Amino acid sequence: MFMNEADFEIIVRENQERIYRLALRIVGNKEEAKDITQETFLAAYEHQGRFRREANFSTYIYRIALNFAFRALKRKRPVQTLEKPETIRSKDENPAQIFQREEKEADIQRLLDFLPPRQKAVVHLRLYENLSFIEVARVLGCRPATARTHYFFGLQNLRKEMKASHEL
Amino acid sequence: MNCKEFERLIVLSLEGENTSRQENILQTHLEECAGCRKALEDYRDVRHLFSTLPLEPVPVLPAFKRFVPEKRKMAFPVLRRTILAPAALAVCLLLTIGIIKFRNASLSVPVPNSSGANLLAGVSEGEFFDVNFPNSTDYQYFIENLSVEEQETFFKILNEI
Repeated sequence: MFMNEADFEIIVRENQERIYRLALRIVGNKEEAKDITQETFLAAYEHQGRFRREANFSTYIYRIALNFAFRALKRKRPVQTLEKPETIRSKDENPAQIFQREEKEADIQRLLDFLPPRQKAVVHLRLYENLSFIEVARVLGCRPATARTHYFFGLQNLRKEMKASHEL
Repeated sequence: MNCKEFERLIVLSLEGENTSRQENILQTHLEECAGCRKALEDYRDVRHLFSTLPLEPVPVLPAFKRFVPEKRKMAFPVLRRTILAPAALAVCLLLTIGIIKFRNASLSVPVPNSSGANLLAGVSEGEFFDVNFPNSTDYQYFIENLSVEEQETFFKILNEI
C-alpha cells in the first residue's frame, strides 16, 4: 500500500514531535533537530517500499531519524545558531516558568552531552518515549541485551556526571 | 558477585528487567550493603530527573507538502514502480529472446534434402532445412565426421551464408 502526500501528512503530524525531541536530544541544536525531522519524513516518504510491514511504522521513522542524527553529529557544525526557531508555547506558561524550564533543559542537555550518541539515544527512547528494550533494540538495529547494556552504561555515566556537578 | 556487578542489576531492577532469581539475589545483597543502597537511591533520582523533564515545545514545522522539493517529487516511487520496473523487465525479456534466437541461428546448418552418406552433396543448389543442434557436442560430432574436403566445403558455404 502506497501512501500519498495527504496520507503521509497525518503520519507527520502524529510523529513529528517525538522525532524532533529525539533529534534534539542527540544533536543538542534546535535548528539542526528541525532539519533532521524534515529529512527524516522526506526519506521515510521516498523509501516507503523498504518498510517491512511487520515492524511498527514509528520504529521505522525513529531509525531513520537516528541515522540522520548520528550523521549530523559526525559533521557537527561548530557554530550554534543565534536565532531561536519559532516554537509552539504552552498558553499556561508564564515567563518565569519558561525560564525555569529552559534552565532545566539546558542542564539536562549538558549532562546528556557527556554520553556517547547510542547511550543518549537509548536513555531518551527508554525514559521519554517509554519504549521497551525490545523496541529500542529494533530502532537501533541491535539485540535487546545490547540495548540494556547501552542503557546501563548511559545511566552509570549520568550518575557520575551528576555526582561531579553535585546534583546528587 | 561484587558491588560493581550488582550495579547493573540495580539499574535493570528499576526497569523491571531482572529475573526473579536475580531480584532475590539483589535484595539479599541490598540488605547488607549500604553502598549499593545508596547507588539504588542515586539511580532512582537520575531516572526520575530524566523521565519527568517537562517536554520542550516543538518548533512550527511547515506542512509536509511544502517541504517536499519539486525535483524529489519527480523521482517519485510510483513512477519507478509502475512504469520503470515493468519497462526494464520487458527490455530484459526481449534481450533474452533475441540472444536465444541469435544463438539458434548461428548453430543452424544448411543440409540437403537427402539422407545420403555425403551430407553436403548437392548443397549449392539443393533445398535447405534448418537443423538446430541442441548442444555444441552434436555440432562437433557432425564436423568430425566430415572428411577434410567436406569440412572445407562446409565452412566455405557457412562463410557465404
